[in-house]
Amino acid sequence: MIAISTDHKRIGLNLALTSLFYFLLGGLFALLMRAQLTEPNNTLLSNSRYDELFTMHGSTMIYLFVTPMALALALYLVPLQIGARTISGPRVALAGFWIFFCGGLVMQSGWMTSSGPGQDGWTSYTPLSNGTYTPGVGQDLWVIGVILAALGQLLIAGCITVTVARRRAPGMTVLRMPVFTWTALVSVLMVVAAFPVLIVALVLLYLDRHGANIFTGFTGAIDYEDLFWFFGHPVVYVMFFPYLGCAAEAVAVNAHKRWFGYTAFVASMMLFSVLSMSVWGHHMFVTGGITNPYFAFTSTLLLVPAGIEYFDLVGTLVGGSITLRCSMLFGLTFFIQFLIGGTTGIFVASPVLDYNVYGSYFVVAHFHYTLFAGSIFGFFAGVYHWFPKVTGARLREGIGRVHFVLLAIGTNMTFLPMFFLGEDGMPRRVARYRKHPGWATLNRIETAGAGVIALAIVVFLTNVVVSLRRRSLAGNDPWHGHTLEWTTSSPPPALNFEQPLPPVRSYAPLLDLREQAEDEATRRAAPAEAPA
Amino acid sequence: MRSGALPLLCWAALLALSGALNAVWAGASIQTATFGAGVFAIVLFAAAVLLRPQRAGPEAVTRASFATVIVAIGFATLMFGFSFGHFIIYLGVGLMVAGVGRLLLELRHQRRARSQR
Amino acid sequence: MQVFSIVDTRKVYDWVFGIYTPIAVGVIVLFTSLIVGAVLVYRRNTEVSRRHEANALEAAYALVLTCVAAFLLYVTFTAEHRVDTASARERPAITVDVTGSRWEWTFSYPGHGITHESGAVGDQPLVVPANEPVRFRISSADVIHSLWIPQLRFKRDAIPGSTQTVTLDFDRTGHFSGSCAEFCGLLHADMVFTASVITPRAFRSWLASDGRART
Repeated sequence: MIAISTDHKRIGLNLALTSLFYFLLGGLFALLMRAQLTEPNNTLLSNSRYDELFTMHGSTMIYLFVTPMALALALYLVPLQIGARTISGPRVALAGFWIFFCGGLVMQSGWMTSSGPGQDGWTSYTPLSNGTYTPGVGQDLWVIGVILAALGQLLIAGCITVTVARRRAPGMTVLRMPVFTWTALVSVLMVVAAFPVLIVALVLLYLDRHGANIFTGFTGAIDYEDLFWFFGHPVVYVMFFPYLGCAAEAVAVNAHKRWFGYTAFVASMMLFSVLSMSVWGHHMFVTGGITNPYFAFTSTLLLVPAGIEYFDLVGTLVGGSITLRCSMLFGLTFFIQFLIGGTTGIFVASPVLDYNVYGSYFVVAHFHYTLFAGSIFGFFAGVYHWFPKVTGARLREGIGRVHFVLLAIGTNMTFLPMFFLGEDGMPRRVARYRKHPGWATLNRIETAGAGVIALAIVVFLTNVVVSLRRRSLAGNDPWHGHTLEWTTSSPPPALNFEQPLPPVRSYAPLLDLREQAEDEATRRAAPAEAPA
Repeated sequence: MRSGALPLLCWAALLALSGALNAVWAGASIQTATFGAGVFAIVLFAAAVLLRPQRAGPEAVTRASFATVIVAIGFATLMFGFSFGHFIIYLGVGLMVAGVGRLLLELRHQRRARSQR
Repeated sequence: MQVFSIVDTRKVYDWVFGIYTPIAVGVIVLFTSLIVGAVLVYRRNTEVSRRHEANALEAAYALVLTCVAAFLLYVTFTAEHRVDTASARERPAITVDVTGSRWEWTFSYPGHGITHESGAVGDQPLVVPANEPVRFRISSADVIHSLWIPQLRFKRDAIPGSTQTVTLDFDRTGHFSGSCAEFCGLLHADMVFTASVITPRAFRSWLASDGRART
């Protein structure tokens, strides 16, 4: 029943657990890579093993963890937030999960072939990835695995899109949808618009690997990059917006105030997501094959909607009543650390700066600051916030704080030195580096940091186990939530809501009710004071 | 709830605008084509939202679907077969045929359940 | 903007980097202090404000952000014009054909009969004169490589089926390391070379000796 259920919560949970497994696997790959890079000219791993590891680390994290986890959160939470009992196309979503699941297995099954798994990076640029330069079934399995994983996610995103469009509760107009739902909606729109292009690109690559001669010469190489990055950059934002939504919900609830500047936020999310569909060429500045100024223009403009999010964050905090629970700590740190990832993103949006830092550890540092120091912190904000809703039990705050501190230290130890390494000329995707002043020290700090991250993840898993074994019951609404999912039981029943929904007059209907009750209390108190 | 198509249409319009700027400024046909594909996909969804009638009254809720899982796994098996021997493709096709058959039965049950209400 | 007598990618990079970095640091410090400050001030505050919109202020702020973006774009476009467009107008003192192949860089000096190879097998340097424009014609024999000389803060992809022409200037003599910046397979890490930048005079005599003179 668990495996064939068409309940969006069950599928969402299955997708989340599968993704979480891949997070641990991808993390293991990263630890092995860091072990190799501890020493210059290290011989712990062979070149081919290292190439497989960085390829599968990136592929596992992007195709099998951060993106599907974002969709899992959306699939679980969006129907609850908009007051829907079921999703549109439950069978399609179920099929999507299973195609994704099989895609992950196919991609990883390359480890069991003699040619090894994928080994051309998560981007798999051609001609390197064609049949001449990367023969062998492992790379084929990588291509098919990614196609399946992307197709599965596309189906799920389609279901969420239609659900948001058609199944909102009475009163929930488009401009009353909760903040997380908006971030999820623009993300699934990006999936719908961009993932088919990846599938086409990879089908063509597969044919090319078997002698079709599609991507040939300079034009072929550039065309593949264009098609790939038309997917590849939007997916970066699919891996970001829903986690932004998680952090925003956690911050608003913990500040006991609704998210500030909703109208501007919605407008900026629309602009942010459309712009981020239009910036992919900044991955190709050094190819000499695209119009750099257009992509520099769109990429630099991203600072406008991103700046709005920060304005709204500060607006939410000011005048609030702030409780520093774990979800709040992770949520705030998401925003603070993403400042580094975001501003360095404006650096790489400038072609002249990119001419130096492209393909270097600077870029590795930049995108880990967005995806790890950013999204993963947003993810944990969401986990601590909604864990009670999903399981009925709260996570332990004390263990959570240890998890938070370790993760924050480990993250910055691991990724901050990479900026300096890249600026100093260390290329990425190298199994060995020369003796160079300072490089060994910085790399050792990074490896130690990766160890601290691993420890933090162990602490988190311990927290989950402890909290589920000895439950501290959450009730329907442990945090005084703002949105409809907190009206129903934890975990929610099969059809989500057994009680009639409260009236929806804004994007924070439960906060409306509380404010209304507060107002009535003061009004009732006021006449009593009047005679004095 | 037809207004649900609005954000989709707005989004597609903005994307088309950005694509138009790209076409004028960069003028690369493959880039225009990808923008076009993106806009098309969203418009398709918006059209589905607008045009498919919203059924009134009670809905027959699907609780589980074994057939769907068989179809999905069959499809993945078929794809896997492309790189791992053709007999696996036949296995995948077989699974898909069986799954689709069962799925049709499932859908018929569901339709009956709805009409009996 | 500074005026460069000849195109110097390093100076252009440092100019742009020098403008972007203080702005980025300022933004990071400003928002971090706003967030931390707000948390400290409003921790356990009991009078919760109900104000949740300030659209006029947001619009003004968006305008400021747009101006910042416009300024950054002005800097970037000016710089890119120097590096990509103005450089092509320079009259080069020498042209070097660079070919990337798995896993070697081949530097050949057309008309002089000199070919150097560096990478997994050889370690002959790229020899160039200081303070004179050098034209590189970059191509690849197999997959995509990327010629990166961190000293110049510059790289350009070597893509099969095309020749990319760039004009670069080394502003000082010395030995600088270079590498491949696009993953190209098993020995990608070994695709390194040294750029030996010598005085124009020494360079002429090096050319005259068919590359036999010591660099």
